[in-house]
Amino acid sequence: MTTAIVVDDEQHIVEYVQAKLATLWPQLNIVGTANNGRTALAAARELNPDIAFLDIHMPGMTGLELAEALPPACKIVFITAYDQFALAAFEQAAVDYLLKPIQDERLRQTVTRLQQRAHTDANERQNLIAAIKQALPQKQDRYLQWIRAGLSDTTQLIAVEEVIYFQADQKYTTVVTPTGEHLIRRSIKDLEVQLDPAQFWRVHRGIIVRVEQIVKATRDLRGRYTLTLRDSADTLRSSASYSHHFKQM
Amino acid sequence: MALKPQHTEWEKFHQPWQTLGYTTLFALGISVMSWLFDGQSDWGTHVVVSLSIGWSIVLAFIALNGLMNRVLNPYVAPIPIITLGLSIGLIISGWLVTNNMWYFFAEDFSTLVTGIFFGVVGTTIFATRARLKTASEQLVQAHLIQERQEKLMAESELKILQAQIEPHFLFNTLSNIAGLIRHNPDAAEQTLVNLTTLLRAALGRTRTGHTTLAQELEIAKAYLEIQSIRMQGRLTYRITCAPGAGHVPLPPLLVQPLVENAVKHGIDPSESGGQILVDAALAEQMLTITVTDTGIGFQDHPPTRGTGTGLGNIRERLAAIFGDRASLTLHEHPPQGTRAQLTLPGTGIA
Repeated sequence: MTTAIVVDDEQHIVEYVQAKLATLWPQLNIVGTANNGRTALAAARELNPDIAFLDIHMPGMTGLELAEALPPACKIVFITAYDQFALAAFEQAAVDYLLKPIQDERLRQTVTRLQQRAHTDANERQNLIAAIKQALPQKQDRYLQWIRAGLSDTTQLIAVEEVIYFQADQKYTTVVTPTGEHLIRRSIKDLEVQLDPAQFWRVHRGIIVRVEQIVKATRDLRGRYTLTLRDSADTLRSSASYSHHFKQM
Repeated sequence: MALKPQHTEWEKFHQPWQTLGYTTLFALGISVMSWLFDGQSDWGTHVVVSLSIGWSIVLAFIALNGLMNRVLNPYVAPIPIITLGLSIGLIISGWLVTNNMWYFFAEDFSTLVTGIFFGVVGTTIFATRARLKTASEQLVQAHLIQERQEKLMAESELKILQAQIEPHFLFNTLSNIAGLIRHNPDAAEQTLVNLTTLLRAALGRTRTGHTTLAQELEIAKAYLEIQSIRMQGRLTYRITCAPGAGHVPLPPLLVQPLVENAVKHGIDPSESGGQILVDAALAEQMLTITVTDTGIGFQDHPPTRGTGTGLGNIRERLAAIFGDRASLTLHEHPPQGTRAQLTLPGTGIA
């Protein structure tokens, strides 16, 4: 008998899929359900199901991450609401997927395909997941996105996306945004390695500036540049040793 | 964004090497002419004299232009600079050619006259060139600024629309209703009614341009109710409003994006979920709206992204309407979660 698990962070979707499958594929034995990736993985390892219906968007561990960790023999059907990136990837990779709200006809087609397909190829699945991941918008989690600035008793959060420039101020660093300045206890050197180099340039020993903010770079005889900024009246001075950014301009 | 006051044309020597190069060519031209007229000394002497004068004037400009423009009227400023540059040039060339620094001041005045003439002509040519360049740069910059503003306008309108009803949220909610309709018809009906509230607000309000705090909180409630049904036990919420604050007129969609952020980036990524508190308080003629969640809080490298842009959009709109009298800040909420705080004049947009 074919076995399956159904995983969705919303319990009533799990129940809904279960009920639909019961009428469309009565022989299918749903051996387990779960509401998050981690319990689903534990269940899959214990029950070793033939098929897994997986919601993509779940807290903790996403459906894609879960799919990668499932036993290779397990066939996977992704479930998702509107998600333009994922859908394009599914179509391209010819993956089985169900759109929320789930339509009977679509589920019937999926069931037929699952019944016809005897086994899955582990390599094939890895390739599919890789293709989907590539199509999804890249997470920029390699780079710093939030900066904590301590105010008297609370910690304010500044989005890195809003920063115009950073300027070293003795042991501290001044963070300049369109709405004001904040002092943080982090060095320019430490910030430089954590910021996206495509978005931030270090133009001086003590200055990192958002590239997008530079309106004009004026060169003087000593090879230094004076930078005019878009959202700040301040002008910045680059030093000759950090002016390689402007050479090609 | 306003155009910053431009520098006067005299100040525009931002490509000194280029200016020096052109000066050299110009001086060489003069040397040929004066050599042909003169007929006595050799061309080399004329080259030395004209280059000394030309370069001295340019260097005097580079050194003194900023200062002179601050002290003097921009039309008068070049006079002392040319005088100084010319004098230095004459002293140097006098010394180089005759070994007498004062030769061109004491013995031969023709070079002095020629120098004054070409010094003024040359400076005028360079200044005109710089001015034309500035004008075209300004034009290009003005175009860029205009384009940027138009793009921002269009983008923010689009963002307002999308902030209200994200496609993902809409389809998820519809799928929820489909899932609930059989075994929990009451919850399905509730969700449908709340979704209708959100859709009505989304379709009607962007055009009217303002709303009230009470309406904003009503929309936040509809959104939170839908999400709490979807997430079952994972999300609880509470909305409180100071008496008398409900009628305050507000620009649309200041509160809902904050509530949405709290759900999307705080509660939803957390397996155990949490609580969202929305509070509106009036104190010292200021209205403070806080949205607090007990979700995963902010990490340096968060699992979800995109909040910064949303906040930037709200800030831009606040700045356009209230100037610096309104602010939006984000704080950590110990022991867990995030607090967004919106402060604006207690009279709202009235």
